[in-house]
Amino acid sequence: MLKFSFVLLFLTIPFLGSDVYYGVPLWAYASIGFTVLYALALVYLIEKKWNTLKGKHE
Amino acid sequence: MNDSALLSEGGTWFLVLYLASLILIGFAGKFASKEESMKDFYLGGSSFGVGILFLTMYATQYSGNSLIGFAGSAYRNGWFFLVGVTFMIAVVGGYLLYAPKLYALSKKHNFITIGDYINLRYTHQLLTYLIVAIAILALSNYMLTNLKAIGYIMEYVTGGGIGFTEGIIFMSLIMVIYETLGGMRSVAWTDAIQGVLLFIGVIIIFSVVMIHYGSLDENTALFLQNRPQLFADITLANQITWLSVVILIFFGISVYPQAIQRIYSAKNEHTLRRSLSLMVVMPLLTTLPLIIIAIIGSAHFPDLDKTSSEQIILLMLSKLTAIEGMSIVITIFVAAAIAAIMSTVDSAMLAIASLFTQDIYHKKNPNASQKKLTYVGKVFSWAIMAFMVVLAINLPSTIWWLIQIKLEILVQIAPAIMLGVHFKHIDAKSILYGLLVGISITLLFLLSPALPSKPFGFHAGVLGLLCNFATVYIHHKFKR
Repeated sequence: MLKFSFVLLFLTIPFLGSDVYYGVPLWAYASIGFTVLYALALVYLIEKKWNTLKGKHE
Repeated sequence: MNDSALLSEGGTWFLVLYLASLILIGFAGKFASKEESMKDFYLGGSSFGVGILFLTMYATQYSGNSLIGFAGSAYRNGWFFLVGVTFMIAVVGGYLLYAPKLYALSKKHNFITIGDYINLRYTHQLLTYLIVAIAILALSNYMLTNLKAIGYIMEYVTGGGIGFTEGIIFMSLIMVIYETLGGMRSVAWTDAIQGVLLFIGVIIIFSVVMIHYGSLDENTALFLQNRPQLFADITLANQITWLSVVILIFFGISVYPQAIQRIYSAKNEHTLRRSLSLMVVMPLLTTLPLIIIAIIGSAHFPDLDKTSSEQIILLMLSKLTAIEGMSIVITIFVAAAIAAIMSTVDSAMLAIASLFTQDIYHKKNPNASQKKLTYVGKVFSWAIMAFMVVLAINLPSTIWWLIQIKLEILVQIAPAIMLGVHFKHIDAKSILYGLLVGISITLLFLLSPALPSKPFGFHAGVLGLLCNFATVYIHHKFKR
């Protein structure tokens, strides 16, 4: 999931066209959409995978 | 009351009461302290629950720049500054690379500063001193920019009634008083108030702008007429800049010493996790509304220069003063801006004092009592604040650009922390060489007139970080 979160973060880079829908360019919808997905992935990691991230410490 | 003052008389009194309450909180922090020890003073006894921990993290991460600078950037760069939302969330992603392990280690070994961890992990004095020095340098820059900002704001909102210099001195005195009274407790409690003010301020202003200036959809025609560049096609250069900014902030802001101090100060793992979860959501509720406000403002006030664009929100609100209750909204905005700046400066000052006391003074005076160390830390707080105030007032603008590079230098300590907690075989020399290579390459590109400050479109600090990681890997792989 941590690796997947990096993919989502990478996908926030603008890559669509600039056609305007409701005052916002198309690429902005994609970027903010992937940003929200990235945020959800982080919340999932924090709440469900904390112990995996922590691992065994010395 | 000065005629050109932005704050009404009532607004000024609100501000005075707010500032007075911070001193009272300082006393409350002092009375709540349990012992005269570094841990109690600099980590609040590691007793913060979700409410306080989340709010102090939030208020500390969102500086005056987040409220004023972000709006200015969104005004100038339009939708492209949506990257602001992404990178503020990415900061939490950066924490996740090391915080779960570092928190457990901090409880086991009673860490107070980042230097404590570096010292334990690498047992290399030069590396520890170098990282502490970089941290202090970055934090000093942070203090300096925010002190200057608070001077300008005080002068602006009082119509010159309080001058730039007086504003800086007055606000610095308040901060250093409540900090030395109650340490981290006072700072975190005042951060809590400042965080609430900041959040409420943004939501109220967003609502007011939506009602009186219209939604994004309603402003489409105005956008196309006044700011058609908002809808220009994205170029490869834009995409590279986006990636570079996200990398720089992912690795840079997540290793800010004051952020690490807050991770240490969590009462338990549950409070830390819940606070981080809430931090993930806040950019969508704080940064995004600010960007939308500024973009709408850019359609209504299209020809502002860089300096004026930083005041876009105030400009938008000041045009609505005929509407009843608007003076209250302006007061809330000013209070939120001041709160955002103060919460950043006090946290940076506390972190600098703890780094100096724990990682430099304590190392030179290993037998010093906890009471003595706390006292030295307090004296140092006053000294560093006085020094910063003098610099903020007198620093010539010709060398001002130097302080803008703080993040590109600070980001070079990320491998020491993030690789250090996960890979126990990486030794101090690999990290040290990586750090030196990273800093050298960053400074080479930033300072050499013959080289671009953004090689291949990336920030010099990002290229430096890449070389830093590569050096650590190569040295680790090929050492005997």
